[in-house]
Amino acid sequence: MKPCFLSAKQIIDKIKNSEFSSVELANSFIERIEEFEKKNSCLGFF
Amino acid sequence: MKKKIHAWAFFDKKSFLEKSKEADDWRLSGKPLGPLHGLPIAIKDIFKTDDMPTGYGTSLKDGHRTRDEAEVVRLLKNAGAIIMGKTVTTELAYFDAGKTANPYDYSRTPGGSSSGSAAAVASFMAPVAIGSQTNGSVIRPASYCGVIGYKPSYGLVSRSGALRLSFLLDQVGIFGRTIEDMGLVSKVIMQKDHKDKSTKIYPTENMESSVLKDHPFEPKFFFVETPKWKNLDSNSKKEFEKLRKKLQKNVVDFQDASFFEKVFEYQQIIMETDMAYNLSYFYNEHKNKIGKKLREAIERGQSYKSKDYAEAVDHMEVYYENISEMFNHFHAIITPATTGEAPKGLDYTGSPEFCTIWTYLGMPSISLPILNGSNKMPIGVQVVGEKFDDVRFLRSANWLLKKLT
Repeated sequence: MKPCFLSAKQIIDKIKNSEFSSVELANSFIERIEEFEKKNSCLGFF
Repeated sequence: MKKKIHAWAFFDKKSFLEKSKEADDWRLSGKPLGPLHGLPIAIKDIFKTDDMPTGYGTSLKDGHRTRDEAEVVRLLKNAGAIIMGKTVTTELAYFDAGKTANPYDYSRTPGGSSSGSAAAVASFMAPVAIGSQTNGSVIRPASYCGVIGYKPSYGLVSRSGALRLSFLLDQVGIFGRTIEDMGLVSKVIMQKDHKDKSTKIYPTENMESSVLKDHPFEPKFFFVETPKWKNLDSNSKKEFEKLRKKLQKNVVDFQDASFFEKVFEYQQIIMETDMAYNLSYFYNEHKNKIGKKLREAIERGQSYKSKDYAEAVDHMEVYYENISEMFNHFHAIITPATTGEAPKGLDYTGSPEFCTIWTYLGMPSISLPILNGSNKMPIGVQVVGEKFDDVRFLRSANWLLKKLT
């Protein structure tokens, strides 16, 4: 399962156990955000 | 179909990756980790953040930056959470809708005012998000978007650094996917704060595991239709009838729905009078640049008599004293979260009428994604608990969720 589909508790436990890094987790969410929001009118940049 | 939810008011990929790298470096250094270490959290765009703009859902504050940050943001960061971005709110957290669509059907509203927070969690763009509620702004979007939305008791989470609509009614809420996650985040953000005099000391140790514990015996609920039952759509009425049957051993009906009749008027008087004061800058300086609904609410707020305001405030306690007696015999209330599925269209964020009583009384409430409407859209079941008994209340909600899903 991709990290972005995990609950908050699962995420924290897996980071503590080094099952994935925070950067890997962030990339999972970024991929998900880009899938739904790419080129939208957010103030930030993708 | 375009897959655009528009949940974010601000999201900066580069900054999110840098913060995540810092979290990794911290962990690898062997230093102690906070209880939320590495957890990304989305924040409604009415809470100040010192490293991101805070736009409050109005073009009048586009790109607005502050040096300080909201207490809830500070507590989350101190616990190791990573603030991933700001989520769309309705204009100044009132009814004029933002750009967000419902992840289940882009032609429908996600609800408001915490529109982006609910939509971000529902679409797995964030595991947890922070929102706020002055009437129905956590429970309603949670119901429409099929996620858990929890509004703790009034006085358990600081509002300092958040847009103020009403000191007596504003409450911070959490969106997520499990009750355990509600406990996990609550444990961090439920702190007394000298900058928000409503806050109280509340023991939260091991809250994430405490909320999962079973009651010594099965919980008892009372079902409250409220005076707004007539506005519930027919499919929801059928679904709630089925739910009552399934839970018949554990549910007793509260017969006198008219008991709450005046609450709606009282809540409106307090909210709109306070908005007239707290949002006076926007009204006085930019009357023609704010939404019609907001303008009208402020104008109503300017017209109420002080006697009516005092009566509305007095009755917060009177009503609560009456209803709190029931918690000697029952664990929680079950009631609808919304009038039904998310309405069609993005201009109207739906009615908060099933949340008004509980927000006015400051009672903890939660929307659980249990039912479905005739268009297969999610519908929340609202559970309401005794004030300052949030752990036991979440335990009852967890029991209900396990029983019905």
